[in-house]
Amino acid sequence: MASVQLEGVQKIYDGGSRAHIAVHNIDLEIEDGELVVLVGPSGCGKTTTLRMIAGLESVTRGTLRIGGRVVNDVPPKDRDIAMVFHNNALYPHMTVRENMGFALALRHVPREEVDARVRDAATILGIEELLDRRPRQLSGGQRQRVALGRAIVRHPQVFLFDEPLSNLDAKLRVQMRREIARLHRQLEATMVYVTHDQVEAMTLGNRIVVMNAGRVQQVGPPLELYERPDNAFVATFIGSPPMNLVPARLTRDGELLVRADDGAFVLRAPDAWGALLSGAGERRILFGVRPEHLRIEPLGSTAGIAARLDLVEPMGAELYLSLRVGQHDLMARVPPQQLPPLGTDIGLGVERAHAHCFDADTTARLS
Amino acid sequence: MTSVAAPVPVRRRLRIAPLALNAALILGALIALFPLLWMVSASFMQTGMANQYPPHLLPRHPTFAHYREIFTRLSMGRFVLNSAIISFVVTGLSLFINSAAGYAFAKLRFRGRDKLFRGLMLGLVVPVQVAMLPLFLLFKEMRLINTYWGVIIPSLASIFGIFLIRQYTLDIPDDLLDAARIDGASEFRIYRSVVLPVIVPILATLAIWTFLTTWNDFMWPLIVLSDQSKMTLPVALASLSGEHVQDTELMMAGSVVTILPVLLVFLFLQRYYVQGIMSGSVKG
Repeated sequence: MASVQLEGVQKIYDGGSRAHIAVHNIDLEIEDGELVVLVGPSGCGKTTTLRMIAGLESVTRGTLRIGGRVVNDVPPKDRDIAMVFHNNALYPHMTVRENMGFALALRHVPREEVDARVRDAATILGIEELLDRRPRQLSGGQRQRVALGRAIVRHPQVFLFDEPLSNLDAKLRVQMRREIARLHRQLEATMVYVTHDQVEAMTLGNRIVVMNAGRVQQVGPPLELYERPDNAFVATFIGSPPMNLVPARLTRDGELLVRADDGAFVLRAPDAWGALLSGAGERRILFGVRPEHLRIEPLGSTAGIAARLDLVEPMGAELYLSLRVGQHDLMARVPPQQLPPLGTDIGLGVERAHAHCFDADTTARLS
Repeated sequence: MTSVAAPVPVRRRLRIAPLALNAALILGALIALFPLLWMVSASFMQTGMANQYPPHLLPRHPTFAHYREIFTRLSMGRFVLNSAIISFVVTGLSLFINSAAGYAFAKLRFRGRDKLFRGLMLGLVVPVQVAMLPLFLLFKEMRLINTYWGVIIPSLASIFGIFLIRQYTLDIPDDLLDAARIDGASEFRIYRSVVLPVIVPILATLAIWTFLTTWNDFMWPLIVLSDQSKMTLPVALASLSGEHVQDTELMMAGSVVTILPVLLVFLFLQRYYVQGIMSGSVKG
């Protein structure tokens, strides 16, 4: 096993005058045995970053190290990595056994050892009885297991995953997600995992790297990202339903207040935000609050917001409420309860201790 | 009442339609096959019987005499061998060259790839006959006239073949090749162990096509091969028909010998036409 280090790594696709920067300077250190998830919307550069680590894309600038060795110019086969692709990429004409043993055969590993390692990997994944089948005779979940097995038999220094669960149905996805988490514990391997699904990122990663438009937005453990997002992008990307953001002004009018730009509400701001104001002026901010930090209160209570109830989505253990506040749509997660009919106004309370404050221009975290 | 009566004519029409279609197809097939079948039949007739009026469909006293004659007196065996050598060598080598080139044009990144490919496509519009004279002069300089290689070399790389392989190979997911790269395969190994097995159906198609065109090719072998011992079947057959204008039965036997190997090759490879080996490799 090994660490992976990216120092100022950059990827530029040379299109003459239309050169396209896919990945801006990335600095990232993935520790030995760590599972790091790269997450972001499509086109954010996460897959390109992974493919650079794999050696399938060249590194335009910067230094890439695996296990302390600079691998910028080392071909994929000599990097001692294994990769699981989002569409499995199993060799269609080979049996499961041949698929899993192909890499070892290419490295002239003795036949008996190949057989033993394939059997071991198959046991770990519970696919012993599939070894003589071909990919087209397998279900989606089984194929993905074989793809995992193909990586495991290699005993690589680093496992790379490129959205491995994106083609599976919801139930299977949850199951395979647990399987990968278990595998990570069992093998204590360094893993880099790319996904666009923030739930996968939250549940799998020791640390998460949130990317957008070719830049790293934030790196940290899942809960840290959830509780203290560095900017508005991370705030809305991590968490489902996403954090509510409302453009507002932070002002001092006797006491510290958050005043929504469209005049929909005025709230008392957390005292700690006082430091954000220089003197008696005001500051344009994005006021953020997660859906679970909104609660229903009697209409007209002093600290509340008046909201029109647009939609109720019962999830079983809780209700998702779509609410209209001024010109904004907010989401709230509340315990199951009797609610007034749709279209009527209700009062909303905000747990101020959990409110977030971002700069209106840079969207960087202020609080 | 109408609701009960209505389905009856519909059902009857449904049953008649495929019947009529099949009858038409069978009729068409018979018309197409008739000359071929009569050729086989005539090759077994006694000399002169094929020219009688009214014509006979079947030989009255079947005989192998004509086959015996073409293989003994006319040494047809030599021509079969020539044709076989040239056709098998061309098919084998051109499959390798065209598939490697087609794969490279589809999947490998190199400078000028698309321009080069467009240039090749332009070459498709040039008629083969236009190239024959310059090619002949060139081969004369290279002392390839009247050799097997003189017939073989021009067929080794075919623009159509490269195009066919390229279009088919484009559908192979890049991830499959990347997986092999990470598994440790060299570029040639990827071509041999991953790409070739996956494109077997199109290789079979191309093999049949190449074998057929080479086996049946008349013009170029006629130009290049002057020595009778090196002639291919179609060329030899043509020169036979000049000498034996009257001997229809003999000519029919020669034609049967010419067509039979091609038919066998087709029957052997046709199952690959329908085989979809790609299914199951990648979930899309």
